[in-house]
Amino acid sequence: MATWLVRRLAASIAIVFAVVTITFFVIHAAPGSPFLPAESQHLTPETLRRLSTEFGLDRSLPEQYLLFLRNVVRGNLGQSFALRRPVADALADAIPNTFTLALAALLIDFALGLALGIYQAVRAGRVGDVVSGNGALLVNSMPVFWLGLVLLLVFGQWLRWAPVGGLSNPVLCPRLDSPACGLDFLWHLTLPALTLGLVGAASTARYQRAAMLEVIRQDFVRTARAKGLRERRVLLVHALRNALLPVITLFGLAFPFLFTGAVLVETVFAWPGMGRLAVNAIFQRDYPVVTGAALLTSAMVVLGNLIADVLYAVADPRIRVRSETA
Amino acid sequence: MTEPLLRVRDLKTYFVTEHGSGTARAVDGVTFDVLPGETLGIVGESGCGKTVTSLSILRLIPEPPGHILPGSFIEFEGRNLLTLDPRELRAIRGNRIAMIFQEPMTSLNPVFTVGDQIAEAAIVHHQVSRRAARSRAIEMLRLVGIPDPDERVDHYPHQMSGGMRQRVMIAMALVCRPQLLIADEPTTALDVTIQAQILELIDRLQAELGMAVLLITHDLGIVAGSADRVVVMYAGQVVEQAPTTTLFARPLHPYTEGLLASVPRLDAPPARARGRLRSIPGQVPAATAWPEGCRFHPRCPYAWDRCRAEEPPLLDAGGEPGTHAVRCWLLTDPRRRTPHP
Amino acid sequence: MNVGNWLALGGAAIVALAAVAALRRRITATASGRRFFRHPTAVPGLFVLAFFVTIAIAAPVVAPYPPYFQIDITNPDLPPSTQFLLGTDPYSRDVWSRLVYGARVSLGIGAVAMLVAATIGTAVGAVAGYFRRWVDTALMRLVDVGLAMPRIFVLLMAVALWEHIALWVLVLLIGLTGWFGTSRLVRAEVLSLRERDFVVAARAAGAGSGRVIFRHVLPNAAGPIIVSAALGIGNMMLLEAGLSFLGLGVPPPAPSWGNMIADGWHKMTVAWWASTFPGLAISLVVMAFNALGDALRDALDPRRAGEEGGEGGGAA
Repeated sequence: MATWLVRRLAASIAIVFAVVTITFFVIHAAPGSPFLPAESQHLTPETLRRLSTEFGLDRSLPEQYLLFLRNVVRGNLGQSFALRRPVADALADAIPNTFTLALAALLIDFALGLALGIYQAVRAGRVGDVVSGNGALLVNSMPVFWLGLVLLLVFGQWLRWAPVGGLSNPVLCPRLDSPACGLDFLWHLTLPALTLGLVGAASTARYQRAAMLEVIRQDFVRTARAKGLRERRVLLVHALRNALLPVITLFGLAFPFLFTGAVLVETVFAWPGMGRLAVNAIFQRDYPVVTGAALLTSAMVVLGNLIADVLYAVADPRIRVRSETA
Repeated sequence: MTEPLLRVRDLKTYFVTEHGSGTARAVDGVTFDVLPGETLGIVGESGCGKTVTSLSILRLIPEPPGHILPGSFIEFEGRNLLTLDPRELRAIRGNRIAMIFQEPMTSLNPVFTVGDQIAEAAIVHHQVSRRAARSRAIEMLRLVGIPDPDERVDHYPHQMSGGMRQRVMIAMALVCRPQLLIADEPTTALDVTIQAQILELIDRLQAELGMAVLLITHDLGIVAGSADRVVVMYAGQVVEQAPTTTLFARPLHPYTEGLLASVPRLDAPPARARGRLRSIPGQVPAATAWPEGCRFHPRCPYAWDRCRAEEPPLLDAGGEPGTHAVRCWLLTDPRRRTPHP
Repeated sequence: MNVGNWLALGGAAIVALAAVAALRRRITATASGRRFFRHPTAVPGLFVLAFFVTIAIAAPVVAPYPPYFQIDITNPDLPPSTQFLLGTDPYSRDVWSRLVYGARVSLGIGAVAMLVAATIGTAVGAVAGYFRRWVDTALMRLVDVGLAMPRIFVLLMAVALWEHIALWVLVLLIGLTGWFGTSRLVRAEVLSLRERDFVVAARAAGAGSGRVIFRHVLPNAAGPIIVSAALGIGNMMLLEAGLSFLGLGVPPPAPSWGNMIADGWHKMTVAWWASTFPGLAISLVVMAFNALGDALRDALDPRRAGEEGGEGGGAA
């Protein structure tokens, strides 16, 4: 197990390294000089000089590459032209928001998705399964930003059950400094998280249903029944424990979806996260922010996959405990 | 006459097929008894309904597409198993009647330890504490002959060989000291040497625990070695029923004859031994379309018009009433027992 | 909407139905065809697709107004009526007409991007699976890296760095970022297929690697490729819609379902129809592709073919 873990970790680091390298070359392949905007009046002369030294803009390509690597590892992702601050700082402010959104969405996704998937597997072929299955298919096929718009319209505008966007009430709670403001934050979080979570749940339910159906067919489920166990125990203990394994890999796959969706959902709900930062940056031709965000999200995706793999290895005794038989 | 432990009367289990090719009448009117402490063998080819019969006893048939017809009757210790409510049925499963299956590889849950799975039955049925259940599990592992049971109890199924897994299955089945063990092809998936060990184990445990065994198999050799009485099934029905020695010495049904004849014999004269193996011509018919009249007639060397027209009932073949029964018109017309050219 | 338009619309529906019926007759001759149509969502999915493709092709006849035509700028945001089937948008253009013309763009982009992705994915997967060893390792590491970057950020980065990207380049990029999953599938198939007797026989007969791959291995791997293509088009369309919504995809005034949603976004409270209907269209079409993908997967899965034989009896 330990050797496997080390190898897996090394592989993850290698992937991140490759992503950073590719990003570097892509930046250099683009027209214009890296880290310098077309109109350099956005940057003060000192900043220009600092950037030149930090990123070696006057040196050879290999040297620039090494400097780039060093900077990335140190957390220096360049300077944002439009915001006039280091990219890393801007990202650092935005990441927690994206993070909470993604986490909330993930919770909704798996809570709803797993429950629905199990229900559908148990009632396979019957009305409940067919109706909810098609419903899930429809939700899974919706553009996530469109769902957000519709939810915003219905719950934010027509029913006034939820706020129409933003992180918090700017007048009453400019900062998160009281339980009441915490509640306000949660209230603002609901719709965007629900949007992402619902689409994710639809997908999770499909997988979980398939996994459960596959497991229910297995012989050991019949053995459990033959032992005189309650049907509920047979399904929720014996079957589910096996059906959850493929879902763990789904957890790893959820990360790219969440980050992609976050870009769109944050735009619709004016949620100040990384996605919205990146989109705004594009329109201001502020590409260091965009590349910084791209690098960061890639690293998080790799981390998410690593965590999922480790969880899987821990959860499945066939991997965790090595077999004695040949 | 001792009271039978299990009485099966006219059991019918049908399956609805998907694309409307009709109903598969997998078990079509099966009747037999199991006496306390005896080993009853049910033997037949694939497709004859023996496994479905065994699953029907504990009502483990998946309800769509299968269903047990209302006229069927299965009585165990004086209660009709088919009319029990789910809670009472669960109290019997794994407790008074236990079952082991053919594939030890896939019949154990891969994510739980062997000990947990054995202990589970004890906890659920006898309400013992986890610690007590764990020591019972270790005891059972020792009983079924697994070395180092205190270590093995925490192992996972994938860490064990096929033979050991089957022993674990047996341990799991017997932890609550059932009165009846249903063994559905327990050795088919195992190596020949392991087969013998497992059968010996079941024999020994049966004697020690005083339980009855319903042994389902397609292998006549196993039946000869382990069963006291034998039921031969074909096309969803019982075609012959007799004590083992009688069946092997004096098979009356043409199908049984054919089965016995097709077994290669070490003591056959050299001429016969060099000849071709005898087999029963034709194939087992599909359960959706059993033949008219006697279901075996298309493959029977003796069949005549009556066989094609009328389905024979189970007829008594002499001796003490109820010991030897055969489903064949030859009993009424023994002169016909000459094979067609 | 005049009579001609209504007739054309009805005609399109009939053509779609006829196409589905004809397809059904052809395909149910085979077992996998029957399996496909046994799915309750197969026929509706096919119909939806056929319908949208038909109206996209017949756009000039079906749509009452040209897509860029602004009817009355002083009076935008009209609700759905008999004249404007789905209302008018904030720029006073007929939503229904733009929806029909937008079908061409959205479906077209999805199809082209999918083609690019499927081709590259199949090629990479086949090469990796067939030649194995270092080629396989290298290519699969590349796939791992590709999967690590969330697609939208890659595309955002491209748009940010090359400030002006032609649409066709963007479509190409959408395809170039979407082949990784397909390549893994194809690789798995090829790995198992290459050991089969017919491959060995072909090589013994002197066929070169390329020939073996193209004529022998890939046709047998077609199943998973088709399934992943059907499921993938949906994702491509959603990605295009997202980019167009952000303003980075299809440039207005050319209609794509994505930028139509963006056009109507800010007036959602007053004119919900402008954004809602394009989104509904996307949802329906993607749903149809997903349903088809599911049905195809069941139909083409060789394992299911084996299961079917033993379904009815359950006897020992």
